[in-house]
Amino acid sequence: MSDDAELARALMHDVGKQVARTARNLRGVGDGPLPDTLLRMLIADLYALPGSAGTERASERLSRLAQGLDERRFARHLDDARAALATLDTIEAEVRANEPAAVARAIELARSVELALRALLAEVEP
Amino acid sequence: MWHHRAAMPVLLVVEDGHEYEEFARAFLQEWHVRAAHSAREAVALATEHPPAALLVDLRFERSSPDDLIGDVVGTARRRFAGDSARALRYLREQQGTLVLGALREAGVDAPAVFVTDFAPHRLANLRQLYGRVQAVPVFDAAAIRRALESA
Repeated sequence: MSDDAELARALMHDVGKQVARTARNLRGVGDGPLPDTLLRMLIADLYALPGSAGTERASERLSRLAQGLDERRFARHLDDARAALATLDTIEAEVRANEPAAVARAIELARSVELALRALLAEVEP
Repeated sequence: MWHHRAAMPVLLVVEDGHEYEEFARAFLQEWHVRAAHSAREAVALATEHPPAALLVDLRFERSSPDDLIGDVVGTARRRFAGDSARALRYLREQQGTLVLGALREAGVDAPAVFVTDFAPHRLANLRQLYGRVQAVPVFDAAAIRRALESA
């Protein structure tokens, strides 16, 4: 496997899959605040991903794992993922407060991160 | 819907953390979820409460070396020119398949689902080794449910 393929796979596994773990399954939950358990899971997926050296934000993990990837080749997908994660960081307080509009936006952004990183992986492993 | 736990099929989750277990308890509520964090624990639990299906993490990066199965020295010699650090990393990255192998050796033949995007040849190889194995690339509860039921 090429270095890019290995990095793309790690990005999908360690960021794309994890960040959408809760978000992609919340259809039909309703428009109000999330139940506590689901909110706690969503917050962990976005802002406290567990790893071998403690927890880190999804945006931090993307930055760390994307080092070494061919930035020019994957600019579009990386930029999409970075932009979504940056927006997620700006709405953290509202998400943690379980404000329905922020939670709905977070769900949408988390899914978009997964899609961007799947698209990136598909470029190296069609 | 109310479920009587005793009547629910057992889903044995094996992982190095708690993310799969949380996911299963939240979104696969028709299963009675039990969780193990090493091959040893998984075999013990599966013997005590035979599972109807297995949900297995692939990478065990948070496990201590003592909790991993696999021969570091032999793997280093065979695959990495004696480099033990690379061998340990490899064993962590493949630990889920090794756990499944240990479960199969212990007589646990329940279908297994990995939440990962295995390449087709890799999945075919796992099926040849371990029988009923499915892979779902993302935490999609509906797809995982279908895989658990059809594996």
